[in-house]
Amino acid sequence: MDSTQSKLGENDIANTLAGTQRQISIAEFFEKNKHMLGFDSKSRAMVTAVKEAVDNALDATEEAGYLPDIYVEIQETGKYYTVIIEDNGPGITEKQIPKVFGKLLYGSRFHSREQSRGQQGIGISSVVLYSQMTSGEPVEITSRTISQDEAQYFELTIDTENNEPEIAAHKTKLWDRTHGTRVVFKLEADMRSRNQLQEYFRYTAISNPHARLELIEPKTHLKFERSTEEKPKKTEPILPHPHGIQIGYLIKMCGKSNSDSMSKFLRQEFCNIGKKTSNDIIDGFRDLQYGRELKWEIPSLGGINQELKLEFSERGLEFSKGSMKAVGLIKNELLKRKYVTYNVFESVFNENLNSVEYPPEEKLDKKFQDIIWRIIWNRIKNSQDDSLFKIINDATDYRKDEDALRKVIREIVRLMQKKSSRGRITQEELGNCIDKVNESEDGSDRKQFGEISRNKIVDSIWKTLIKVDDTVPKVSKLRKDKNAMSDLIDAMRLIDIRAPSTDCLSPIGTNHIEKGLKREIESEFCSSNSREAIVFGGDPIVIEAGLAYGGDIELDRSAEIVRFANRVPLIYQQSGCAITNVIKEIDWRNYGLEQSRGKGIPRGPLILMIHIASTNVPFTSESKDAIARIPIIEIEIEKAIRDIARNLKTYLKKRDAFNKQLLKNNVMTEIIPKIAEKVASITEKEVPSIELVLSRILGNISITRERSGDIVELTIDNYTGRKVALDITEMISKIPKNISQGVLIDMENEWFLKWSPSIKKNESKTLTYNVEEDAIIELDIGGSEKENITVKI
Amino acid sequence: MNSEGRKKLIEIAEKFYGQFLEGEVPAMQLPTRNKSNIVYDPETKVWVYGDKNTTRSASNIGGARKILKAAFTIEFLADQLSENRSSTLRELYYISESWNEKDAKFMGQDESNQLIEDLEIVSGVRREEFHMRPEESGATVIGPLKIREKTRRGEREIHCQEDVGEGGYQIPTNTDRIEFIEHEADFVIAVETGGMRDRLVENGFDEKYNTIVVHLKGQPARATRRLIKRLNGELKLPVVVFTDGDPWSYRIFGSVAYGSIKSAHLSPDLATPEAQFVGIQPTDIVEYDLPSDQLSDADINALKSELEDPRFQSDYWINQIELQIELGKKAEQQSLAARGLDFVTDEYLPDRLSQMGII
Repeated sequence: MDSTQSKLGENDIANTLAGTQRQISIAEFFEKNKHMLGFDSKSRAMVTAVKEAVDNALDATEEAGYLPDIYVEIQETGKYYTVIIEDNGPGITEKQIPKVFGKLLYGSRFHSREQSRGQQGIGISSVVLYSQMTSGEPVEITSRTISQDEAQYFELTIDTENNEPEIAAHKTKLWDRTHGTRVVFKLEADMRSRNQLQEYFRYTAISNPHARLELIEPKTHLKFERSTEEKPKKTEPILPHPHGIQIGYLIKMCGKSNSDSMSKFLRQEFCNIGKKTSNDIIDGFRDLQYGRELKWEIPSLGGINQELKLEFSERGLEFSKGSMKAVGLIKNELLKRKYVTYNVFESVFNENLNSVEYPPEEKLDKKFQDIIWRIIWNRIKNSQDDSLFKIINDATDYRKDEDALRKVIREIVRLMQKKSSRGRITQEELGNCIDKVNESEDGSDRKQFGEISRNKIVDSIWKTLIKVDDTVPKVSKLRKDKNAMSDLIDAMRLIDIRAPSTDCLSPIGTNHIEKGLKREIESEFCSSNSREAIVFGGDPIVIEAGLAYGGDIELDRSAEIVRFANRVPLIYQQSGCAITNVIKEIDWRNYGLEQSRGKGIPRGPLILMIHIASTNVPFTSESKDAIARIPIIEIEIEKAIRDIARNLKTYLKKRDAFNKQLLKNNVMTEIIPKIAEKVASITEKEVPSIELVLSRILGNISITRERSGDIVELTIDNYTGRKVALDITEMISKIPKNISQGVLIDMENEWFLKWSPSIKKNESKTLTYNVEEDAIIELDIGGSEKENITVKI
Repeated sequence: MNSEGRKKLIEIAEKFYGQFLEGEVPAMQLPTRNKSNIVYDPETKVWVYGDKNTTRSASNIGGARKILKAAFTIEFLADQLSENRSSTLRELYYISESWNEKDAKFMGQDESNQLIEDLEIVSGVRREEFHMRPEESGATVIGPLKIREKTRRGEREIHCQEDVGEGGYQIPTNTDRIEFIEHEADFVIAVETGGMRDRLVENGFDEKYNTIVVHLKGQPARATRRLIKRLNGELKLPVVVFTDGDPWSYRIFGSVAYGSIKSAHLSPDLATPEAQFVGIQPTDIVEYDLPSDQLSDADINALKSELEDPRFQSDYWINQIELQIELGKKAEQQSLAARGLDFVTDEYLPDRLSQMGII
């Protein structure tokens, strides 16, 4: 009684709870979770609002093929701020306006695999939501497409319960723009984020030199004219890459595809899979799904007939001529080959057994067939043990216990013999056999197989197995077979497939990076770098870097780091970002900047920008403020930075050397004549001519040696007006390696590295080599130029 | 002498001039003047400069300035010699200000001193012959020795016991102006400190033992070293050196006996290789239980540096220095007074000198 009653009680509670549960709309969800949209605080809200609108405008204008012209105005209106954004984009149609602005998560960009700024945010509708939440006022939208005579005008809010637009007003009106969109929001915000807002604007100007941008707010007016008329490359969506696929998505793809054969499916639905690759993948799939066949060595078949006679007579049967003939045929067929697989044995057996004409009374029924099969097969199988043993014995440590090895073989063969296995085995199954033996043996090293021996055994046997050519399942069947799909994914991952094309990406490019930087500030030196794409999780990623140095950039301050993801500036969470991390770990002192103990953000007149472009930029959190720390990406960022840093170093060296040279020129042209005068006065002779001496001194050769860790670089700069030839000897106390040029002579306890460069006028040559940091190096210079050389070691 | 020195100086200028004509960058080559380039010359038995060279060349800013300064200095010295005038090293440093040439101004006296040494070496002429003299005055001499000095105001004959006061005879900067007439001395004793020198004189040590007492006044001036060399060379008198027992004093002995590092080019003229060291030895500190001080870090470093000084590589010095490092103590020569004021003249010196075979 009690139990029933209590059961009823339990049901009641569950029902009651069930009654209160209902579906929450997306809009309602975001209403309660503003921070996920980037509206954590009032000050951040302003930045997010402007960002969403401007990013949208840039995407739209570029998609339409226009050069963007974007205007942002922020006004203080009592308690609230009014934000106006106007662009020269293609405009939005009457039908689409309510959806785009009044429905969360509505957009064309989310499912398309191409680079877009829109991926960085939830969309303009989030701004509408935030505005209506804080000011209670609807958003005003004016938009005109090129085919319309008048603009559409809407005032709308979002019905959060249903995630649908609520139109407060709608009409058409005259507008002086031929195409474009103008949006007006009223929202609660805080202009304490003024700096961040300006940063966003300035940085957007850097990554989009083709855009004209203007920002007017109560305290500032920023204007950026275009510095190039070239539009960024248009992106094309790409197909998914096999290495990034997960099973859930694969199921979906199978359902949607109209290809039925696996090969066609692979080639059509994925990128970079051609006939050969799809064949390789399918082969791999077969290996995983079906395994490979063991090939059995044909042993001597002598005495088979006797055995059969014995077996037959034991059962009171006669081993007839017919059977003998059949067996004979089988034997012949088998002996023709060196090896036979299960399949082949099966077909040879059946063919020959059935090809013989049996007199009716001799017709062999299944029982007898089985006996014959068993006898012959056993013979073949038993010999296999020995050859298998040899294979794995060779592959493993000689100390391994023979018994244990034989046990492994027995397991394998036992598996193979099951008619259901059809003489096939997968790598996984091979491993399992070994594991089984491990379980049964004691823990001694000799009888157990550790990971290394296990792998060796599996590899050595696998190599001798033969691929099967079973038909792979059709796509429709595949969809229902999780095991097969999992194997297919694994098979895809094992094959080397070309990185996805970068048609889906629109990197800024070295030219535009520098144009962008130059628009931002007058600098003395600029350098940029755009790397080849790498792949992560099936998505292509391109890293670009740029720097500006000196000129109008303030001298004594930390370097300014500017981060971009898909051309959108990342303003927040600089310290948690992978980009910042890489920058901090580089020793910038090598490149001419100050840096405390070689770690941390360097100091100097430097602006450093990094852009990561991808169809799927990995962020640390849903707020998409900082790049996740993934090793393969960090390495790429480091390479990009070091490349341009090296250019900076070269520039600074030349500049410093040039300045020194200039200084020297000035001082020397004063001192040398004075020496000549004085000397003439002492000797009571005429003042000698100094031209020759002066030109020899000033046009000279500089030799500098720089050591960084164990790397040594000896650079010779020829400032003379003619080609020079030098004989350089580096006398080194420890043995140098990786010598770029020259001849190394072992002098017992010292090494002489002799180099005789010939350097054209105004050129330089560098000798590089590696030697231990504490090695002592002395330079010896020979050749006719000795006195013209200034050495800086 | 005058004209010889002047001629050599002008030759240097001529060399520069010639270089200009040939279109060669004016340069001066000199031996490297540090510990790494001191070698023992078995013929003269003193330490001179080895083969390492340094070049002052006008091909870089620093070198050009040096050559300019050299030219200005040569002119100054040549003029000085023509007018038969002289000046001190310090005065040279100040004089450079009057040249009104910012690139030729000396940054400090060290620089002008070094330039004079450079010119000495390149010309082969001692600075005394340029009429350049140092600040410090040379030694005082007391003992049975009669000399004749050529002064500006005529020749003087002086007996260094009868014609001098308690202070003794003050030697001139250019000791080559001294001629030895006659003597009755058996040996020369060079003493580091004024206090000890006065003790010896008060106790009549010079009379009792027929010795010429030379007051080194700390690190001896070139004139002093030259004089000692001449007393040893010309009068064949043995020379002993009596200093405090610390590394700086051993260097004093070194400069008398071996030659200094700074003026190694003049060692043959200034060093007295036969000079011997009396004390205070580290073994004396132990044997006579002398009042002593702890060695400071600087002292220890100096001792260690001496262990690597090529001039102190004899068994004797290595033993003494190692002992002292172990002892951790140093003692002044005047500490002998702890055993009584007459101990030094009655016992210590006679014992040591007879050990050394001098008396």
